[in-house]
Amino acid sequence: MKMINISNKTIAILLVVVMIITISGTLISINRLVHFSESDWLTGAAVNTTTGTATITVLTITQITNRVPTINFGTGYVNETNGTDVCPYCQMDTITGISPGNVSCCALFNNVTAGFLLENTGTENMSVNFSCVGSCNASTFINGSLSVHLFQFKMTNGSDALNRSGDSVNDTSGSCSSGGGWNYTDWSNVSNAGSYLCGGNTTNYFFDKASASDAAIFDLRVRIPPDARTNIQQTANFTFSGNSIG
Amino acid sequence: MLAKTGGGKVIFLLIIFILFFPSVESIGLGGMKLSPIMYVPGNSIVNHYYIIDTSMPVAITVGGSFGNYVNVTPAINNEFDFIINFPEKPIPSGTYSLSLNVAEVAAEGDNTINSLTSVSKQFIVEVYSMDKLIIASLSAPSVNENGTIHFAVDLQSITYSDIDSVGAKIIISNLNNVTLAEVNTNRISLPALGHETITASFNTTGLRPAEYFARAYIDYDGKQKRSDASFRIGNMDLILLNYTKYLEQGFSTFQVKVFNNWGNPLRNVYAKFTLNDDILRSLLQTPSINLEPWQEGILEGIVKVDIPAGEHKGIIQLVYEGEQKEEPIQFTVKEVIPVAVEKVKDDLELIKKNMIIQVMTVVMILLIILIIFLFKMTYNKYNQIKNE
Repeated sequence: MKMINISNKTIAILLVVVMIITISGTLISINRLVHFSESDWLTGAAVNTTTGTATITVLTITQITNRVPTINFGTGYVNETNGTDVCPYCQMDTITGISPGNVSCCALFNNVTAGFLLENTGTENMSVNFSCVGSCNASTFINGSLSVHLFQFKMTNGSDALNRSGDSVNDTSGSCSSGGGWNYTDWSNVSNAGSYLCGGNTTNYFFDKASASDAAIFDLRVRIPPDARTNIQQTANFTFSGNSIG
Repeated sequence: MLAKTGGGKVIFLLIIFILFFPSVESIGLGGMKLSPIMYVPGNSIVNHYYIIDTSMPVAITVGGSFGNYVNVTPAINNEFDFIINFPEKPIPSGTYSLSLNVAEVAAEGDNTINSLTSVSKQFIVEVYSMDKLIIASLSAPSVNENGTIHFAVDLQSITYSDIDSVGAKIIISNLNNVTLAEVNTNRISLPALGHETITASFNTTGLRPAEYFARAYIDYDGKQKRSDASFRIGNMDLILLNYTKYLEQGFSTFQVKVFNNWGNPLRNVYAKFTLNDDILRSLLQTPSINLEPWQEGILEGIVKVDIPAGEHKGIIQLVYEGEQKEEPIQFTVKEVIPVAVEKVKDDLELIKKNMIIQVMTVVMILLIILIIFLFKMTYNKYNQIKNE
């Protein structure tokens, strides 16, 4: 008589399978029963209470966070004569990256699609403004033909932004609504002096603290003419300031 | 030096860590709220602040028209004190600004476009004048019928001058604005920026239980101020404020919202809910509760609603401290939507089927194990006999 020799290990594995089926089946059944709790399985409960005293001091926190602290368009050049096409400039912004239809003109540059993501991470509503140090206009940052070069910014609600990755909680509504919305929602020239981005002065505390409406994107756009100054890296340092009642 | 075998893994993990480590710029400033600040000549205020969530060096600066009177201690472990030393000399009255700013300090970077963050706290400093001015607030506690009400007028001086004499006349009226009585408070002097209370008592004998209105005319060194308050003259009564007007067939929660119209606690308060259509039929008696003076409370219980859908009449009997009163009510019974019950039945059926399948599977596997075990025993015996 010839038989297949089945080891104890095989039997043990089968027993484990039985246990898994039993436990998982029971859990599934319990899970379904728990769902009935919406139908008020528990109709009353007695409680026993006692009292105690606790003290707490809650601080007010004024905090601004920039989830995308650097923007690096990289190193490249304007591919002026690209086959039969002639490129008048290379245009890029942090919303769509290198502008569609302009891709072959922007040679070697980084395709950046994330602007500065500002979030009110404190406990207070804030006013918010920016200032810029360094090469903060198109003439110094880009140079080249005056009629072509651009160095611009615009503001977008976190809830409306195409790319809002980094926001701690995705916004569902506007973050400067009580101030009538963000200023500079159209492309505007960057300047050293900067400006108020939400509200019109330091005490316009309109940048919301609620987690579902506390973010905004500061996007940048550059347009580089073929005759832009070469071989010198230009830098622009932005400072974003949040102000709240003290 | 990294070990040859583990070095590669460590470098790989470091690269992964660097790639996925969240790179953010952030700065926060936490402290107790100070604004608005009242200017008191020669006074000092110290507030402690925490700089949070920044990994960069910071610069602390003070600004605003009151900035000259502020010192900031050096930040140790990202904590520092903000000290305001008000001068002794008089300052023109008005509202002044003061700000505290904490900003990240720029570091050298390779990127073409960098950013930093900074935060500020803005303070308002109120400087009052030598002109005499006060803030006044009248309080009028509710009392029981024939009790004595003790009016209090809180006075806050907002001037750097002393007030020689301040007192008030309080006029009591009903809600129809008919004047019923007037009383005078004591007169006091009020020091500069001081806080005091003046009082007056009024016996309510003769006034029926209801809501009343009091207005205080405060006069101080030839100037006048006004402050209003309302109060209640109460009696031992439990007032029905609201009740559940819609019930569903089957079992439904019925709530009665009541108010203790008395300046003393009411013990053993409960409600009885009776159907009062063609016949009187008791539907519910709620558990009893205790109510503190002038306190609202909710009496509730589960009622079995086995009467037809539609409008019905009922009676709520309120019982308190051995007293009782009846309030006629109307309520609506709604039909139960059976979908939920059907769904529960379906789910139970499904669970039953699942459990049967599960038990059968387990039994089958156990049978297989048993058969294998028996075969194995027989095979072992066969081998043993064969070897012998």
